[in-house]
Amino acid sequence: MTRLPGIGLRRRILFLLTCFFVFSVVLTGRLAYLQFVRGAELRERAFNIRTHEVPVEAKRGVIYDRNGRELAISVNVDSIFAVPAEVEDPPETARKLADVIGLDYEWVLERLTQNQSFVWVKRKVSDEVSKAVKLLQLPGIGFTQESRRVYPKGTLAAHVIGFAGIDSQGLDGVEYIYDRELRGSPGWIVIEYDALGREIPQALHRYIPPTDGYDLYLTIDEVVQSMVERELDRIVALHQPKKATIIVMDPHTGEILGLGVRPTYDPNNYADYPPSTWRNFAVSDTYHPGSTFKPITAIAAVEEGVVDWNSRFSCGGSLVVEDRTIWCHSTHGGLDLTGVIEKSCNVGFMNIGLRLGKERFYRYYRALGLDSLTGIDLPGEAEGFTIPQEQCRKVDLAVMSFGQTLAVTPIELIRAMAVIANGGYLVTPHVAKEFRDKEGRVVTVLDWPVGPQVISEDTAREVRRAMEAVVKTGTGRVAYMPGYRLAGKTGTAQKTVGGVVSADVHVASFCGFGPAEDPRIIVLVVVDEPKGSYYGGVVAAPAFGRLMRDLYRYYEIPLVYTDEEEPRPRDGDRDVPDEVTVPDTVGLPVGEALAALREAGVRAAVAGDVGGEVVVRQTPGPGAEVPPGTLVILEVGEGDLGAELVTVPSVKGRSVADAALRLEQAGLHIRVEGSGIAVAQAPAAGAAVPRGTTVTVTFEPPPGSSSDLSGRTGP
Amino acid sequence: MSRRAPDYAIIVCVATLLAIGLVMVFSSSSVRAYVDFGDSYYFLKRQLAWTILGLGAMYVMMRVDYWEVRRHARLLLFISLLACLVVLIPGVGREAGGARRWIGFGSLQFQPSELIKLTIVVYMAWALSRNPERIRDFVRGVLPYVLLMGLVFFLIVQQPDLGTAVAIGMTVMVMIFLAGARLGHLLGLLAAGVPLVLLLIWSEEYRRRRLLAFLDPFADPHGSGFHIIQSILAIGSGGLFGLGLGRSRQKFFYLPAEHTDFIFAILGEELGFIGGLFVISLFLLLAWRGFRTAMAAPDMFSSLLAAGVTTLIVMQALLNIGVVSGILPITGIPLPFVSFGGSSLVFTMAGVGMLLNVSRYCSES
Repeated sequence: MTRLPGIGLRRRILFLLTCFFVFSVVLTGRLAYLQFVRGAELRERAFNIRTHEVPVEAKRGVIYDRNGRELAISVNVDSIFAVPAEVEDPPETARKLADVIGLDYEWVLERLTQNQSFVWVKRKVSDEVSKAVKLLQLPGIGFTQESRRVYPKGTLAAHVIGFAGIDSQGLDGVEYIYDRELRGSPGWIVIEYDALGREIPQALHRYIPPTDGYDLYLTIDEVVQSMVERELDRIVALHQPKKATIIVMDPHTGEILGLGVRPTYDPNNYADYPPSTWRNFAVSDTYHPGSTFKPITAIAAVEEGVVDWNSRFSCGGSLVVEDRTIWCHSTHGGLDLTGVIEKSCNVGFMNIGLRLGKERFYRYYRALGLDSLTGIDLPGEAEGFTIPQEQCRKVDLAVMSFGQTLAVTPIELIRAMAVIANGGYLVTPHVAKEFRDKEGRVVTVLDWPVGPQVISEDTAREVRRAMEAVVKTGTGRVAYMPGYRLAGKTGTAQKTVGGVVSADVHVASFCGFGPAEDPRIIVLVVVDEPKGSYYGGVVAAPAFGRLMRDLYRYYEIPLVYTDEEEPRPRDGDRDVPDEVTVPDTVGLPVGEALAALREAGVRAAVAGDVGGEVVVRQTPGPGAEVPPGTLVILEVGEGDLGAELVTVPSVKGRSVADAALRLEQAGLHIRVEGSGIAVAQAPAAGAAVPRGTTVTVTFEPPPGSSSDLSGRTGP
Repeated sequence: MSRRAPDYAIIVCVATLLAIGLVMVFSSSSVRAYVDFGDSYYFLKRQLAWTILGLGAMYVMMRVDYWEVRRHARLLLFISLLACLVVLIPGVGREAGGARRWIGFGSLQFQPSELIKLTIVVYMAWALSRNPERIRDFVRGVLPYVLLMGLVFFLIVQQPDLGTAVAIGMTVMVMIFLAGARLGHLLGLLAAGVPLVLLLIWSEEYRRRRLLAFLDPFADPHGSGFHIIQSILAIGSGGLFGLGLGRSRQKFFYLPAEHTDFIFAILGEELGFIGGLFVISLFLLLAWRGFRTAMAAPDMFSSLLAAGVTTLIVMQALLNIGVVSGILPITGIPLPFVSFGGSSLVFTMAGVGMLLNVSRYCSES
């Protein structure tokens, strides 16, 4: 038998028990530390490892025009994703997916074998693709609904609306500017997965619903916008310009009713178009306003009292400023202020500008916001610029007075002209009106400040009257329509190419509004580098006229006739001659067409390709019942009249603009060489050439002049 | 010698742990059982069978004359060593999870390392009580047992099963200590042993990684640190009262070995601090009652046997919880009574049977 355990053994057992006890306390302390001190952190950490937050896109707000017509909507489309751990046969699955969706096999396989619990295969697929993939019933491949942006009107107002990307994030236009409001805030589905990427049964699912974006109502009117797009298309077809823009605005509020740009793109497939087509000429690019700037010089001078409407100006065809002779496009003789504006007389404006002086000129230039952002709610706005005031010499001032050397953005110019139209106020041009929620309740009405009054009502009204004369009898007469009381100003500017003023590259523009007494609409048409004809009065003014005609009808603006204009029966006045029927002139040579229209008692204006010889279209159309004296606009084009010969007129001794006009009327094109007064032409005067032939005219400054700036500005 | 009733406190303690074990095995394994075997109860059923077998073993070992067992101590150890050797033979020992630990026929498999845990305790109790004075002599009284321990340690590490080897080694050392070895000898052994263990760890790539992962688990959260991080995340998620029974999240394949070596992590997650503290307390209670039995045992052998079995069980429990809660490096070691695993359960309960057997011969007080 062994001995009884001794005292030593007992002591050592007690020691061991103590060790165990101490270690147990340590372990308990460790548990407490993990579970209490670090509990929340570890729980959160574990949760984050186990869960995936699948974002639920908020429904992006709809973009409407001012009358609630949809311009941008979001539709639900399927997105295809994969849970790699559940994909049973990655190569086979990848092959099938690549086939059906049209993706690269290697790429799909790589995605399917990624060590992630969730990967996108292809987002926002078409219904057909989605159905085809669903039919495959591939394990591990799932579908979720996302919304895709659709622009139901295609290119309409593309540069206002912009576009949104794959994550429904606004990238351009109001989609970009108002992205935050349109986007709403995304929701989340929190799904708990096991370590192999499977959903844990009865797991925690948290659904945080998304907050949908607000609907945006624009100031754009789809009807007006369509007219703008139509006119732009016509300009592109007739003149193939490098770019063009038309802006239609309410001059009192700054609300943009229509804004179009060429070249354009379809926001539904924006990525298929070169990014240069996304550029918004109307706000992002500057151009030379040319003569459309002249009314601004006029209002500054009138406002400052350096000239008044009785002031007389004398145009001898040129003016010597400092040591340079600056040419007018014609010799206008004696003119009053209205005449200077009406005839767009450079000499007159130079005199006005010089009388006004540098300080005051620049003050008005700035007050009218021509060197500052308008604050329009479209991305990428640029600022206009000119010679810095401190570097401005007298000759620069003279030239600026008729709109040369200045560069402005179209939106800046229309805002400055709106000051004249609205009686002196600098408005903020804008395209957004208000936000509404999904129930249609107005959430935010955007507040667009109307700036300070920068000129007096009287000055504005007087300049409007002079601008009305421009349309009635001056350089803008192609846009004249009796009763419309349109006012406006043409602009033709030569562009500088590589720092040198080019004779061949022009910007044609027209800015006008109506009715002159109380303008309701202001329109700016800018055509950059038109081919062929390049005068504002020829390239831009017809679009203005057509737009105004349609806008007057659309807004039911009453026509008011002056005494000189054809008497028009007042409402209820039944004994005055009735309306006349517009004859059909389509297909007729221009001359015959004009005669036929005159006979019928309507007036006619020719627009379009001046090289054309046959009427291809007339507005109003044949058979329309119109008041006598209504303007019928004839569009001419290349007709099939054979080689009709025309006689080349003599342009010798004429200014560039006059020569061009004369040749145009004869159905010929002009090629300008040099500047000043026409000294030679080829073919010679009296020659019989086919219609549309280009006549090269050589111009030379009259003897004695050291420099020549004429021809830079046309009517 | 008159026999008394066995120590009921030990029975209650063990029964409670067994109950917790069954519940936790089911709770922690049901997901894996369903996914791997299509039967949520797969592991529970097996654990239940082993528990019944274990209860039988406990009853037998409580009833037999443990002096008979003492007589066969050498034979039992010899058989165990043989089994530990045989299991290493490829084709005989069954492999699972990269370790060759099981031998047997068909579904009747057992781990020799679990057998030798118990038989070496019996052998040591026998050997150390045979000539109590010899323990004072290092060469004749200590070294042979250290060498024996080294052999067993070496054999088990070959499987490899470092956790079990460590538990056995420490138990043997504790028994040498309890038997009265000189402290100087023990400290000398310690001084020689620690570098040896470190060398052993460093010599094997996976052990080294585990040790480094223990020191800084977040250095490689998806690789070597994964295990310990998931375990700590599970425990930390529990808080005071836990997520509730069956509500563990980490058991969804995040935590490996969730129903075996790391079952305590799931327990901590589902039952919280309270649950963990309760389990630790049960083992501490077991330690107290087991050592009390040892101190009141009628003789040296009984005393060493009771103390050895108690040490073996409680040591494993503390090591296991230490590993799971991240204060000891990872070694695979089951939580006695609670972790899934038949051999461990049956032999541990056989050991408890012997402990209870001894408690019937204890003197009063």
